[in-house]
Amino acid sequence: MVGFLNLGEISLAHYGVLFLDELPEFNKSTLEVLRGPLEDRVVTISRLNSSITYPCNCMFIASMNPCPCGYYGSNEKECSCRDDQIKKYINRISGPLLDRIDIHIEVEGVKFEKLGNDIPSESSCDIRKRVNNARNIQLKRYKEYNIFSNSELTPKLINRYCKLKSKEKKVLESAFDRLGLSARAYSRILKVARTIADLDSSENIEISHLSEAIQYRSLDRKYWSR
Amino acid sequence: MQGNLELLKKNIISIVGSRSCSENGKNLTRKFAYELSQCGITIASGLAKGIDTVAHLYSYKEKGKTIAVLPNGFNHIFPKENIGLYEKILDNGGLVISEYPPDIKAKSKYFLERNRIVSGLSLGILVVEAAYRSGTSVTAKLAKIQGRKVFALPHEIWDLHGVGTNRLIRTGAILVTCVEDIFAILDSEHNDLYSMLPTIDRYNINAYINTSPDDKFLDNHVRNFDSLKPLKAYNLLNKKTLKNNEYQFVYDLISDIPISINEICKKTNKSISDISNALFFLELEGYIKKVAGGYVCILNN
Repeated sequence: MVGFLNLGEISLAHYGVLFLDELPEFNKSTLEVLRGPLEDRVVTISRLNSSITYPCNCMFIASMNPCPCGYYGSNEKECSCRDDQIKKYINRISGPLLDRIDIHIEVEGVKFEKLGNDIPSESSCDIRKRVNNARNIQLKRYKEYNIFSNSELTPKLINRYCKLKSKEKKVLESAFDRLGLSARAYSRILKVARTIADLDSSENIEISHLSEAIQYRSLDRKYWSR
Repeated sequence: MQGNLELLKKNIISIVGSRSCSENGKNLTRKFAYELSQCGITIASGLAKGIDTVAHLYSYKEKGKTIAVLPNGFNHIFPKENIGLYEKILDNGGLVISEYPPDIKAKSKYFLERNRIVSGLSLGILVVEAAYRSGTSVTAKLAKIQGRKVFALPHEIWDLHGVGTNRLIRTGAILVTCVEDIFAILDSEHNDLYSMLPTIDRYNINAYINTSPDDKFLDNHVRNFDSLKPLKAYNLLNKKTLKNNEYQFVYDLISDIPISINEICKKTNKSISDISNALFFLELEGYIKKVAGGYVCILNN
């Protein structure tokens, strides 16, 4: 009998979203195993008498606290963690895994007054319009390559569709020098910049798109460089 | 003990403060450590991160020299980053004290035990920054029991780094704003001290911070009390001046207290992409840096 290997969470999320809340609370080995599938978009499970490859083309989203108590860097409350505790907590997420996450954002705690207020913000409906617009641009652009979005671009296609002009190239170069970005970050920054440009309905990647994309790689500079 | 034992006969003032200190705390420590040791006062501290490190750094080369009291044996300097500083202190005629055998590693218990020596050595301790719950407050308590003077620097009431010092002042510590205040108190018991005073130039801010327009501004205000007005926190900071004015409106909002990108957007009414663009270039040019909780400015010096 060929054993049927059950689908894991990452394959169940194929063409969907895999959301891991409290990322550092996961087993380190579990997290490290994610590296390959996130890169290749397929996961291979090998057992004694069978080996199966499942697709897992998902959007990977994760959230975490900055430290065990949750208040490191907060202006509201003093963090009660020791330096080494924070370091240990942060280091549960390895650099290589972090590099495979395109966008890092730090969010502040929500203040109580804000929970119930009704200051108008952009509605999900409007955002949907913007996103669909960008998606359509990408669908049209990649018609012949059998891919759907910027995230699936291969290095060859990146060269073709994420071309930078000399001025932008210079900015990216100096950013790499000054901010100490990793080589793996390079293509990811380009893809994110391409997406930001698409949201802007812009043909080329401008400096503002590029700098916004670089800003989204901030956490490794802030926390992991400690 | 290692180093120059003669230092123990001198007048010693301990500078203590939190390990996770603010830029402001560092500047204050710089000022006091430098000026006190210029007057021949020996600065004692604990070779820990933050305030302690700055206190040693700005006194070990000066007339007064510095004393470091360790919570561990000589073979296990903690934190490791300060091994270089430890060696510098010894090379420059400073003194390092430990009550533990050389092979003992630091333990949290030893930190508290170490604090009693830091306070006991000195005529008085100067608390620069202390958070609500901190070892610094314990040192202050010990100093009080040992009959030492406790000097504390006042802070803004919403400054988390200053909660402890403000509480100390409320419960009887002596509020000081300059070196002269410390001498005035100690003078009644140690007559020789006050006579040392003229050796320093009272308002020579250049000595420890590069002069910028803001400093001159502050300096004038200190001299003319009549015109003393409330100053905004970032006016006191020794910020760099932008070469390019394009992003001035963003730079103005950034001080030594971390501010998040959301807050900057709210205050300027600009979009995230505009602001991140500005922040990116400010960071690239070395005006600001990212820390946990947002952006802070990089100060001159």
